[in-house]
Amino acid sequence: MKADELAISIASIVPVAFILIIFGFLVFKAYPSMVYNGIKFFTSYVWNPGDISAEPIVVRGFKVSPGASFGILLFLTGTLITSAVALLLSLPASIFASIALALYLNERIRAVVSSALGLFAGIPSVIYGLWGVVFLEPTLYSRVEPEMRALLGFIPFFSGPIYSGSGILASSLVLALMVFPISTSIIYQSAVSLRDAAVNDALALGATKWEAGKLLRSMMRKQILGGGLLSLGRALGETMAVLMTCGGAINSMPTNFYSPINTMAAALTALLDSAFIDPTGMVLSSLAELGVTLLLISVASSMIGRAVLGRVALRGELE
Amino acid sequence: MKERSMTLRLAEDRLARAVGIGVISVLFSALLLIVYYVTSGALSHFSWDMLTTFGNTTSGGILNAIIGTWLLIGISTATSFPLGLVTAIYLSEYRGRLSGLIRLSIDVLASVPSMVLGLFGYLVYVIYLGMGFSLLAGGLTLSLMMVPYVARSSEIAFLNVPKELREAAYALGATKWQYVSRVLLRAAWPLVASGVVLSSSIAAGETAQLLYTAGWNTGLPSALTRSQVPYLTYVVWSGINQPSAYANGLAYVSAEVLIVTVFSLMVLSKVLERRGIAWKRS
Repeated sequence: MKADELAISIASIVPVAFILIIFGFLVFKAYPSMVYNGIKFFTSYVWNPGDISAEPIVVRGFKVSPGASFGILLFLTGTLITSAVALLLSLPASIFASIALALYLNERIRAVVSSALGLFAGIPSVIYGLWGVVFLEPTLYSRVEPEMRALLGFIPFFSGPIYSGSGILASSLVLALMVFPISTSIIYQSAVSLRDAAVNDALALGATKWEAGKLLRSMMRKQILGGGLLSLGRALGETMAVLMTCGGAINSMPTNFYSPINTMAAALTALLDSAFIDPTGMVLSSLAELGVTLLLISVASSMIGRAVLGRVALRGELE
Repeated sequence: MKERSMTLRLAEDRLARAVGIGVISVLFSALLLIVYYVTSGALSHFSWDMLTTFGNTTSGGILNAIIGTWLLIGISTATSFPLGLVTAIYLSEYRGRLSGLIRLSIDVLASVPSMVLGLFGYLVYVIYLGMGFSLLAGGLTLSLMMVPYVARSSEIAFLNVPKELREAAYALGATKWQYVSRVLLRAAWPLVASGVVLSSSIAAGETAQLLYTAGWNTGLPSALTRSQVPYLTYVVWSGINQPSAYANGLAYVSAEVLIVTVFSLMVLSKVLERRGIAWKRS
């Protein structure tokens, strides 16, 4: 092996090493929490660092403050609900928008829309959060949520108390807006390339554009699934926009769509400074376990999405 | 297929067109509304002092945060660019047994949630390596997120270089390294640069990774390590929840500066991309 090849091979291993180090270090840090919390980590929703001013006690070989209990059920629920609702709202819109763009609109509008999609995908998440705080939450609180309760109150989760506007609904809507450009740019690209391949034939045979669109949709199953999973991966791991709009619930499970919630990424961010004052290190360890869990869920979703898309994702994600 | 009347089919088609255009318009107006909200908020609170003085998120200005953001972009770009570029060179030219593994790890790295990278940066850079909340800790944490973007976009840039150039170089007796350094990089640089600029625009808007790695400073950091750094996204996050109207104003103005920064970087990236593609055509 020549010198340049050796040097370049070694440097290229760095990303591989980083993955191993990130995962290895987090698992190493999470080990005391795995031993102390056990399966209760996933089945309990109580997150309590215990009496940190009291003398630490030793449980199964690890120091911990008396009364400490760490369960992430609330955060896990929040992550899954907000991401699922976001995807339910944004994916059909993405499919519809992509097909309409590919079939009904002309070249010039398409060019404008697709560069606008790129810009919107680039808006920092803290800015989506700001908009959630100053516009979405007050609007939901004063107008939308009372109406929803009056109209849809007979459905479970749509009735009951309305809180401050921040909560499941607000976070899900912000997430839906944030992932819309991602799934749309992937699905739209395949819609454009497949249109020339097959849909033009359908049109030539006398199909209406809508009928051709239905054909197009059935041809894009793979891209829709892949684009959906990639945007799900993004939604699951999204931090700032959710942190700012979720209401920061702790130790209380949501009762309806208007309830405050917390997600894994948001809780990790909000709770990390509580680890600074914990003398036992168990808070930090539990947060590391939370981080590992979030990492695994979110990476799994994105990687399955990439596998489904194949090499298509390479371009789509960068746009 | 069942026979249906032409009128019905055409009516259905027209309805679909209307709904489709409706969906696109509603979503784009929502997204435009975000930019509009930030801009109008920023304009109503704006004063020049905000851009020209240092401050602490509730009083003064955001000049320190603007400079801090650019310092962080500088560190993260300077560290992720060589790494991403070399990885892309390996993937497109050297292609060994490790290609699959490297590509996989780049995809995995790109899907790690930003706060998990933030936690890692805090545990390893800040605590374990003793950097403290600092430029280096924050910049290196951002760099973890940028490497996959730089690697992917550079690989695409290399794919765009006509293969005749490679054949010509090797026919003239060039070694692999001579081809890479004198032909490939020269031909691909606008597209490589375009990808680097795009990934630095993403870094500019990051918050979660920096909260526990960069910290905050009412002035500027005095050293690479153990000296905290101010940055724009922090002002947005902390200022918008403050009771004082002035703090809210600083948050709006920071958000606007961020939008302008990110959009300008994205436009610069597009310009470089055009240049790269135009080169290929000529």
